[in-house]
Amino acid sequence: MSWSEFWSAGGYATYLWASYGLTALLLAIEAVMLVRRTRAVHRRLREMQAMEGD
Amino acid sequence: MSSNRFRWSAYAAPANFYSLTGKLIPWFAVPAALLLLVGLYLGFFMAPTDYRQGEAYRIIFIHVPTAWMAMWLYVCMAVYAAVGLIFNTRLSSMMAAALAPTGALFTFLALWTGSLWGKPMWGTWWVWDARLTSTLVLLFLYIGAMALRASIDDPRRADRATGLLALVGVINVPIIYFSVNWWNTLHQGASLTPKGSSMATSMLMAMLVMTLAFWLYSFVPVFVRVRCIILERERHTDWVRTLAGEAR
Repeated sequence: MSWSEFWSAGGYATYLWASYGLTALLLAIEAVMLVRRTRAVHRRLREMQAMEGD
Repeated sequence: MSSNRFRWSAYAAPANFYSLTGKLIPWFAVPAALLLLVGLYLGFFMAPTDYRQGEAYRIIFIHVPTAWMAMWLYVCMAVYAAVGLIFNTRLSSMMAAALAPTGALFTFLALWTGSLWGKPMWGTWWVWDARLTSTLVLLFLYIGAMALRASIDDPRRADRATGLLALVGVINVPIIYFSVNWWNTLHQGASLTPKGSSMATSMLMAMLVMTLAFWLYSFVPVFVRVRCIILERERHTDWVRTLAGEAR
């Protein structure tokens, strides 16, 4: 089986790759959002500490 | 005395859990990634083409795991919500809050992949079939729990209200699970039952490995999110102040 055959998925490429593609995309978006949220929380904690330090 | 001791442990729990989850995350993330690779390899290169559904059936290698995780995470959320309501433990409610977005994501993906399978196989993106409808209700329950929590400013009141909603909604999970037996649905019955499997071994293996990968993976976003929630809600406690001080 060639790679082009693999990607064409016997005519079901749209359905198959839209399933796997969106799953990968949404999991990646969730990861990015969580990294941002973690950074934001730590930034807020640092700001809180800095304000109390003054 | 005993009530004092109980309260003390409840206050200490978020601090311990924060450090524990920090250590555990890689132990879930790495095996999940490895199993995902194994599962994809089995699913795309070992499992044969289905004689009736062609290559489109390979959608089940994410459809079934996401659908199982959608239901499983809801049960987890309801159990944490119940523990939070009964014992008034903040950490349980924080876990319930952390589970909802990942559960909603898996529910959406189960519906999305199911729809993409349904179009070529059934000839329609959607039918108001018992299983599809009850899974859509599951998505609304997750979104409802998140919206309700976001709408209440006081976190403890939000915990109680959201907990109650999560607990009432858990009745929907057995409805989803048994829907294919209780009603005459377009959705096929379970491929995997205690009596055995109706699939080729390599297909079944791919599905099980993918499910295990998704299960292990689900700990990662939930732990990362609960750590954010802990820091946000415990920001005025001594241990968070110390932690923030050390990080500087």
